[in-house]
Amino acid sequence: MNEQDLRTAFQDVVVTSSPPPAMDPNRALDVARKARSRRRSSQVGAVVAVLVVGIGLGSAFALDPGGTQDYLIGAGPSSSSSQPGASSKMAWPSGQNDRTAQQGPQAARGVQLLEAVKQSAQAHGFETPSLKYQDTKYQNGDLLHTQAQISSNEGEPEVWEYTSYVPVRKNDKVGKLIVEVSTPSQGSASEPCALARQFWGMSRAMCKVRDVDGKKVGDAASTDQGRVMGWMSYKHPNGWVVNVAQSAGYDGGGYPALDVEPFSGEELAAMAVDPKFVLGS
Amino acid sequence: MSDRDAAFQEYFAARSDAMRGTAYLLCGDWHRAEDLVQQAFTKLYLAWRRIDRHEALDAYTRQVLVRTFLSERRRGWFRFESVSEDLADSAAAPGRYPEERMVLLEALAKVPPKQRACLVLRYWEDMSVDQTAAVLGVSGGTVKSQAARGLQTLRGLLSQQERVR
Repeated sequence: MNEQDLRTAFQDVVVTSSPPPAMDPNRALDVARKARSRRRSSQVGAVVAVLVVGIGLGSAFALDPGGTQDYLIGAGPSSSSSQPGASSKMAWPSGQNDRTAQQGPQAARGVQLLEAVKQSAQAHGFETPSLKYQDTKYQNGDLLHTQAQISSNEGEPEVWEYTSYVPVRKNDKVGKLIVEVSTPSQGSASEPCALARQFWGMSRAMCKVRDVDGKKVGDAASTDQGRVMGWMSYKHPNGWVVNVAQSAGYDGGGYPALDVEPFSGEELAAMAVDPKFVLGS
Repeated sequence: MSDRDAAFQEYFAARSDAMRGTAYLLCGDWHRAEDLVQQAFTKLYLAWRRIDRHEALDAYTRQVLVRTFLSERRRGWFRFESVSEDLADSAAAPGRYPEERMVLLEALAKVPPKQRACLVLRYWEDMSVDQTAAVLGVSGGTVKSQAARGLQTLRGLLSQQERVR
């Protein structure tokens, strides 16, 4: 079975499987409206709860100003047309069964990147623990992991992509730092925001150009749900591309999220231009 | 009825069938597929005012649908380990489920969810690598490797079943 066979098979499956009658738009609208009502009710409830807490704290402060201050401090820091990507006929480098390198020099670069990312996070006061996904559906997988893979297609100049995922922990709250590094590619944009919008297909991201000691970095953010909140993209003079992304939580990890994103924009941009992520240098 | 509600209804009537096909290939069950579609469109309705371009509606809805499928798989709310069991329960009429379709659905059910999502988006929705990456929130390279692995897994499962039969 090749890609075209699968396309045909999918068509056959859907067409011949006797789909039920079309869904009712009236019912769909009714369900959606009810969901909106529920959300409004819960928002009103949240506002009331905040007011109640505020009144409570205000009263406590009036009775015992020092005690209220201790309480607040004690709360802790608030801190198409595409290429056929599945090319099963592609000849993988020696020792590989698929795009990813599990051993050898490319895999070693993946490990090198992971260590470099951990080092950067630790330099900003974060622990980088070897945590497991708490949900058994993740099959006891590691939050801390790295990958080296060929991202180019058959017939194109070989491009390697290294991606490291690091849980960053402070005060038992866990965020995520991702660094993805690519060897030079003809397709990578030179303009910083165009480059940033190539990251993980997030072409509609908001972006501005940030200056780091004369180096132009794409400073991007996505408003999509469930998505990495912010990232920096930089193309080094030798053509290597570094994307550094972060989020306050680690999706699926099951650990409490940090109150805010782990790194400031300035810190994240400094990582993007850091030469230690240019793994071949 | 407000303009928003009318526009939502119109969009639902136009696109829910296509989304349901995608959902069916992901989960292998029409009833569950309709649940996924309803959830996706409900979220779309709540976000309607934030999505100002019509072409963005499809992208948003498809993304919510696929991520809801993957998320529910992770949480264990939704179990779809064997298509054959589900179909046996539904007492299919003779000849209703052609054997070839059963074989593909059974094999597809055994492909890991993320790989399955890559296959469905790439080869059913005919999305590019970048578009698929955007829906799944991963890199283009990961889409390529997941799709390749999914196809390899599917091919292996189908040849196994062929041998058994």
